[in-house]
Amino acid sequence: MEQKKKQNQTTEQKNTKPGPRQRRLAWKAAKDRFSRAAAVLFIVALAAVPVAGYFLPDNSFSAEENRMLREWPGISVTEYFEGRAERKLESYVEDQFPLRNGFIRMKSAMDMTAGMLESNDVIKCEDHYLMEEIKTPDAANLERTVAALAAFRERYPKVRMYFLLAPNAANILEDKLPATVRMEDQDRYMDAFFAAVSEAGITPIDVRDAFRANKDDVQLYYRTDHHWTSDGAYLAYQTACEVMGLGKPAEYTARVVKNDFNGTLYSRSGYTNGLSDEIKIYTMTDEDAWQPSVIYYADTKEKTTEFFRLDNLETKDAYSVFGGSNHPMYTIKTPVEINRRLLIIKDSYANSFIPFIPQYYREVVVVDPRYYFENIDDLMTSEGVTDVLFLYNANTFFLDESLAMTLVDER
Amino acid sequence: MLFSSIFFLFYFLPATLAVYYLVPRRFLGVRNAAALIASLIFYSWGEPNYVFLMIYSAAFNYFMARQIRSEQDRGGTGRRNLVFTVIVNLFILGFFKYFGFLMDTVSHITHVNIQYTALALPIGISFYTFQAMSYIIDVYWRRVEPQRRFLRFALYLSLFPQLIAGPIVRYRDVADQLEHRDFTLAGFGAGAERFIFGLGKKVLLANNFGALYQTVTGLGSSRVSVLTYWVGIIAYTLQIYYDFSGYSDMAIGLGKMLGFDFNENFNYPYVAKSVTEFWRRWHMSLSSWFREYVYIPLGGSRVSAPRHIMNLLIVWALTGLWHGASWNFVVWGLYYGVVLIIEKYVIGKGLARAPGAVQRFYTLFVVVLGWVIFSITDLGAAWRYLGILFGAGNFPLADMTTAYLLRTHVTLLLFGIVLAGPTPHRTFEAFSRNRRLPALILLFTVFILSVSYLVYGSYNPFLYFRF
Repeated sequence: MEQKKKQNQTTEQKNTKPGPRQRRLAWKAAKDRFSRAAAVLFIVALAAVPVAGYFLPDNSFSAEENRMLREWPGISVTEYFEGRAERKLESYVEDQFPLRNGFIRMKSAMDMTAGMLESNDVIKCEDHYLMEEIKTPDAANLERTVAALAAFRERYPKVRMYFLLAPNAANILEDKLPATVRMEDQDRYMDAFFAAVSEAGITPIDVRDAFRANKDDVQLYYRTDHHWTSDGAYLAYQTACEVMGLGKPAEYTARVVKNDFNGTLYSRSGYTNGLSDEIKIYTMTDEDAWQPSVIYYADTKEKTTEFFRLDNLETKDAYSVFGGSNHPMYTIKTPVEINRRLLIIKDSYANSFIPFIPQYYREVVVVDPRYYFENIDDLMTSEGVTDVLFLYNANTFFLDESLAMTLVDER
Repeated sequence: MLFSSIFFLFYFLPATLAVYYLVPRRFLGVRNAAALIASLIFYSWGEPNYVFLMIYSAAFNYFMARQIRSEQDRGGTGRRNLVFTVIVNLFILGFFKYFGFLMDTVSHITHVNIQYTALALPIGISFYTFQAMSYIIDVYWRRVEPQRRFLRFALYLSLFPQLIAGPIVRYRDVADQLEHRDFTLAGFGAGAERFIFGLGKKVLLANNFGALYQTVTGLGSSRVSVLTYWVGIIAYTLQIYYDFSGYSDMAIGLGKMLGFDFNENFNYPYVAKSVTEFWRRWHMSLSSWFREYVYIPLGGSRVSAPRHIMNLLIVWALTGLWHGASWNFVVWGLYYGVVLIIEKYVIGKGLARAPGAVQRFYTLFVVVLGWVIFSITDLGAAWRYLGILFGAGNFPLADMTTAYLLRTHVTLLLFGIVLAGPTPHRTFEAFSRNRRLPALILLFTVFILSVSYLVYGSYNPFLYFRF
């Protein structure tokens, strides 16, 4: 075969005008040279991955995704015939693929180049912002929650109740959305909700005006995370002071404790060309006026005087610098003059907001209904609650089902 | 197992090829055995039970073919055994694929609520049953000798490249290759090239078009517009082409890597100038199967016009039904039957004289509307979708959602449309000869990008922020 080809090549060179047969053979020979090179490269590529996989150590954790990676599952015949061994093996080789993060970034980069603006429901916006889509409330579910709030209000006519529903980035920073992206109108949902709760006798705390007035001067939301920043939370605190009658807001000083924060939206989307965020913590400017608190986490039976858990800054979920992970229930006791006790029912937006509040209440009880399964009425009585603050961000709240369940009258 | 998975690509395939090529080429029987074992593992992966059904089907058809031939050799016709074999094949296919559909239809007509347990569909059963029938009928017609060795026949039926999604390889096309075939590095490389382009079609194009189509069909009614719905169905049109032809390319490529040559299955169907031509270019192995084993035995076109029309409707109803156990597929098949009859008897001559652009526009128009019926199993919903395409329901002509979808998918749509024609491939063929290195770089860029998409498939960030 090889010799024949060489002969053909030599005859080709001799003839100044090759005939159709020679041209056909030369055409085929040229393709074969390409194909042989392609064959070698393909074999090398196929072999490289299992060989590298064999020599490289397995990773047990993906920081990017914040999850455990599948490790070598072993092979058993029974599992094979149940089809389970196959699935485990497949996720093992995918999770342990050599240079896995590099390939994931390559895919995202390619999508961006092709003009995609969305990945796992995260939208890439102007000014390096990543934003979540606005969520549409499920009407039946929201109705149930509003009814539960109204019934709860009725059971405690003497308790003051407030509802702080925080708008989301894609609402306030609408002008940063890509030109063709249209979001659901969150304001419409929020207005309807605020109207419903005020009718029930719960005072709304609406921070939207303050946020809109300050959105160009203050970074209200993280670029890479779905939470508001400490600056946003401080602004919300100022509005809350007014509505809740807490007097003039205290002066605070912000200091940056982390400047390379890549939050949940960064992880979820896999986008890499955004900016990292700063995390700030706020401390009272007049240190002598500050009344230290004692925080008691019921689930971990841990007592501390620190609102900020600075060692969490080094973990992937650096937002947990604010009060650690989500606790079902905790209490904050502060030796202040005023003998009022506040119950905060909240989602994770509250975590960066809470440190401002204990200065005004002898006790603050914090409940996260997503994890709290005790009787709320017992808690109201045993803690002698005088004020209740609900604090949610609109996206989470409009899809939440746990609040209605927590507020149900179980007596 | 799917071709477009990390496990297949980097573990199953190299292991299979290593064992296969470590066997010296003079022991072709051992290589065949290695390919057979690999195929059985491939088939039983994740769903091991139905592999026995396939082995049963192989054994049954193997013995019946020999039985038919020995009857014929003794002066008989073998007809009764042929009919028996075909019925058993169709019964198995019918039982696993159409039982639930039949029961639903019967309950619907009789208003009796029939309770039944639908079985999971064995993967590839439509393909290997049709392959087995091509074998048994060809043996009966004496177009091919029955295979003496069971192992070879089992390999033909279960060969993993074409097992799950075709092409439907006729036995007589590969009969010789089961006994001797060439193994060259160049042939292997040609297979690798074919495979990589097929993988790219599936992973980079088809999956993204699929996501676009899903976005459009999932839009709430406040975001629907006429143009968005056209974008959606065009996305589906491109998805199904790249999905199916990409799979065929991978199958043909893998076949070449193992030394087999399969017939082509797609020939740029979207450049066809008539619907008749479209079906000569789309899923060719299926349409030629129906032509050869149903249409021609029914008399084909050499019969009276009413009978011919009848034949076409039968063939197309069956072709539709082959695609899935649901009425929309039957309607989709009959739709093509009717269009082909109209082309044959009414507009054919006029169409042939029309300018090329008109011919192509007409063909694509018919085909794209056909995909609406094909893609939406619920006929009522398909009808509503078609209505919206033509302005029913007072939806706006276009809105911001349309602009968003076009803006984010413009590159994808451009690639999808350009690559559906023959020019890019022809250009690459010349390029790979004249500019070998850049051509190799292009080829392996497609490979690496496809792999990055496959790896991304496992990217599963744990969404702690919800809690």
